[in-house]
Amino acid sequence: MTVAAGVLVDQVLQRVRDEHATGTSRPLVRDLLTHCQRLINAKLGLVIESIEYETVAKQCVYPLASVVPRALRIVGVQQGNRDLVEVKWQEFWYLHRAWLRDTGQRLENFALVGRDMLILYPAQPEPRTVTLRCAVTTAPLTSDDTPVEAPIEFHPLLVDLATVVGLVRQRTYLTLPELTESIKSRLA
Amino acid sequence: MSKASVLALAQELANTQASATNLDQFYDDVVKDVAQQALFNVIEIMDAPAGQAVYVKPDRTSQLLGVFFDDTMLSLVTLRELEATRPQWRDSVGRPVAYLIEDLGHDEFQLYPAPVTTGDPVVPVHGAPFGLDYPANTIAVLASEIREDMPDWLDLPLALIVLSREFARPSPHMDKTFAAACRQLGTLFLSMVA
Repeated sequence: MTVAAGVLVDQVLQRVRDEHATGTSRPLVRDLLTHCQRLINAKLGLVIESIEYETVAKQCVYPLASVVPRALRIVGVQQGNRDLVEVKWQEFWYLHRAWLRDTGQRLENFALVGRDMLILYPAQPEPRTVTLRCAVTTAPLTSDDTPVEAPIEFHPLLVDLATVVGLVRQRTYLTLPELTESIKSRLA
Repeated sequence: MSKASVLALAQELANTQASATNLDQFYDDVVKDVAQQALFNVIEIMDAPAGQAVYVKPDRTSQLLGVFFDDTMLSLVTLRELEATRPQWRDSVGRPVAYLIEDLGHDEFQLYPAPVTTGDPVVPVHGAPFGLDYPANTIAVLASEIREDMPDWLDLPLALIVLSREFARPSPHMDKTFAAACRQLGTLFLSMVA
């Protein structure tokens, strides 16, 4: 079931006590919902795409922006029907100090350096196809009819995030601590 | 995406009370601070002349995350450790096994020992500098990147952090409560992607 952005815009405007959008415009609320939806997806990985990618021979470091420009983060990597095990990139040093140039018969691990660098270990002697499962940048909510991509059970969190920004913009702080704590607990 | 969209959003959230000039400056400051969190990183190959021990990090990089010589990731060591190992360590040449950042300029690092041979140049035959074209006996540096143009999914946290600085500074529109609320939210949102 899809929900149109306008439904969430109405909820946010109601919560910031501006039902007629006199102080906070509907395009601004849609913009806030767009940003909040992307942040939630970056954190929780709700909207996922699978992308086939061909690795480079003898290379294990890949800048993500050139591989998947829409990626917010990698949530999994598969080679064939096998999942690579995610590790912290610093752990490669303990495995083998020459990990940057290690080659092996099959990929075993993946790691992220920050948000935009992917390590596929060990490098392969020949190019191989892997499937990258990525949380992707959701589409902007350009109109009230644009569907919200986040699953419906996360819409209350999305509305709360946009509401809290709307309240700060209005400089209405009374409910802010409670709302912020509620958001933090749901993101933990 | 980019600086322009962050500044436009910040003005919208500030009801256009903020100084455009200051927002611009604060944005530049904030992206340098964000670089410390190593969200965005680069790996670059550097020339390694024989006998040269001290090197300068690549431009637009901030935190040094790792240094490689040839295929080996070097250990980060302290001055004290080197002095304890070998008092004349500064005169050593050989295959580097460690690097040091202590007692150097903020953008410098030093290899121990200094390379005994000059590294091969990068020859782009296959278009894969970290693949088949990777040169022997050279230095590769992994570091966090200072980006001016951040991806658009960072617009909201950056706009809030920029606003927190703008409204905390002494000015006719100074508002400490608003600044604190923006900082709290901006930090929360940034933690969602960090």
